Amino acid sequence: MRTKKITGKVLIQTILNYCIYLLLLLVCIILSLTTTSFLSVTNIINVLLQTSIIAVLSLGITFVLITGNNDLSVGGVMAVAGAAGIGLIKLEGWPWWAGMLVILAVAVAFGAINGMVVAYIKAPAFLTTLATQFIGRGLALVISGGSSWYDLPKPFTFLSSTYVIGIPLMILIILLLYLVFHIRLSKTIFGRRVYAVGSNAESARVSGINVPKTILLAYMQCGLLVGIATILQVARMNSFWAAMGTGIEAQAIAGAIIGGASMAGGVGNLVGTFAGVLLMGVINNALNLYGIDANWQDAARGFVIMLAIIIDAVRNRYNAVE
Amino acid sequence: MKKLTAIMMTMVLALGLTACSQGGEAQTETQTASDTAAETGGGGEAAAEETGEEAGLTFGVSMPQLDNDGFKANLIGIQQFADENGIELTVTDAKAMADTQMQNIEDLITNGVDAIVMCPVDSGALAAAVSKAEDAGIPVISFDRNVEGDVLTGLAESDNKAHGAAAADLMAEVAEAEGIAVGDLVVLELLGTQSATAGLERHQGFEERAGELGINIVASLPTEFENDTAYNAVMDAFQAHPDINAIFVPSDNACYSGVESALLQLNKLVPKGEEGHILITSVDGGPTGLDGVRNGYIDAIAAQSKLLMSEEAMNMALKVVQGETLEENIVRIQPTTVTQENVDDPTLWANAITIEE
Repeated sequence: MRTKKITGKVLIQTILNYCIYLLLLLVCIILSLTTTSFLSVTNIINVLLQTSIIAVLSLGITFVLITGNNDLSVGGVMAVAGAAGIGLIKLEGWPWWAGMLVILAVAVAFGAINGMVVAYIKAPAFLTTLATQFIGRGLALVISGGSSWYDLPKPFTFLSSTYVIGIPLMILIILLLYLVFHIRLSKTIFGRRVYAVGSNAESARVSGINVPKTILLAYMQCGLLVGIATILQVARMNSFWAAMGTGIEAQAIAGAIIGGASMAGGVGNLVGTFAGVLLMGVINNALNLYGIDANWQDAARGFVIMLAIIIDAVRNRYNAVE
Repeated sequence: MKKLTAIMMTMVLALGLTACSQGGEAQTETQTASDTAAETGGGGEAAAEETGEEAGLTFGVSMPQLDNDGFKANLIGIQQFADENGIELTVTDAKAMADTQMQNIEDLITNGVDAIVMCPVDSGALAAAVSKAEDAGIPVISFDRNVEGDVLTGLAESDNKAHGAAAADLMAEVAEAEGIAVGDLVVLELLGTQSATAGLERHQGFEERAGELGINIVASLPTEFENDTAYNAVMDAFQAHPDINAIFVPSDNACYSGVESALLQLNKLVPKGEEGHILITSVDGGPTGLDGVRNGYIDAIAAQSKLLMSEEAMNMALKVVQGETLEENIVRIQPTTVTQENVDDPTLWANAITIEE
């Protein structure tokens, strides 16, 4: 009697834990059966490319979320890093690699500012990163004067137009990033510290973990990934434009949350995040393939996020009962 | 837990693989589908040439943002042309985000549309997306805004310089009709965003023609196409030049409300025909502009012919799809004059959107 009850509960828990994958699978199956164009190599590459930028941002944000913090600044940081790097290339004639380094440096610097203010000054992450979002977006306008720069040096277009055995280089870069950071999160001491800090900061501190340093590193790492996302974004569009990254933070955070990361910290993994990002991408793609009214797209995305949050809440309650 | 993760990963991978292997079939299927489409298109060419109806054409439409009156009007024009010619439309909205617009265009390519009619969120940022479509053999026609990099098949845009010049002509005509010598006009010229073609070219057109006509511009002040900036500009201008008796508004749609509020504040908002009326001409012909004309505050508008612009863009797309070569791949649309006599004409774009609603 008792064992039966427990196995039933375990089953429900397991289903709840893997709900996101089942949902993704279900949506893909429905789309394959109902449209001719979904299940084609070109369209699958299409979806992967369309979600690539958000995938990189969600990756960085997942680490920050697991530490129990948040990062709303990624879109603004993309804009300022892009403006600085591409501006130096287009206006000052800097070489492409210097421009890329500037993009990465600016993004990491913003991550460091976020991290220091949140971890050491202990300001609320939500407000801190909202402030850096405004700073980033404002400085991007100051640098670029609101204009856009088209036609970047060859290495940028190389990134976006190269195929390796039929797969775009950009997708391979994303998969590699996910592999590396998945190992970093699940197999390294740093990864364990990230979980420990987010689960219970006090016990992490008692057990000898440098809590502020871990949070700072998570933010700087997020900054680095924002820098990489910026390079990929300008490469994909072959241009910088001042409004780039507008509203992207919401989608990036949503991807991680749908994938199982919790706003409360301590929970989350990158396989889930990747699935979460893909689910949003597939749904957007579906709405376009079906030719559904553009105005429904935000509503549909909101619906998926709501579903994920409900699943998350139900799962937490189940785990708490245990 | 780990085992399950592994199982799930394998499932996702397996899905990916089946997707890839089946992808080949699916693609050939679409290929044959488009082949047959091409064949029927070829067979029924005579019919298609007349109306384009029998060919079963689908055009993709990539709008920059639909929460904007001007673009709503463009879409109405596109839909009208599509209805008349039996063309199916797939409409996407980029919500003013360049990367979303790129995704939309990629999805339209995947959908296998015959042509794409679009207006870019940003002239610089969409060149890569347009190239992608053109590389896939889908002609792209832009309206209202150009795309950098010489990648478009065709472009239909307002001749902004002609719009500015027309506003100067209208100013002189109205003055003469009212019995004011053109030389006695004391004009405040409001400027749009000078970094955008619309702002710069309207200014150039107005200034050039005003010079030819002998119109005296005493001040040229920036509005950045914003109501509050326009309000401040008008207030300041009347401080410096209390004798101003005419104003040029570069976009009634963007900043006429600010002008009207300022004139009200200055106690100078007087309708046409009454003592102390300030002569106003503007460019655009948006809903607020037409209301200004109805109330007698705006004398005349050099309105954009947005419905015609959309029609020209669609027409270019249809021609290219039917295998014709375009004689001109840039069509510059001339302004339509709006006065109290024709302000309720349903073919004016601002009226077209209110009828639609």
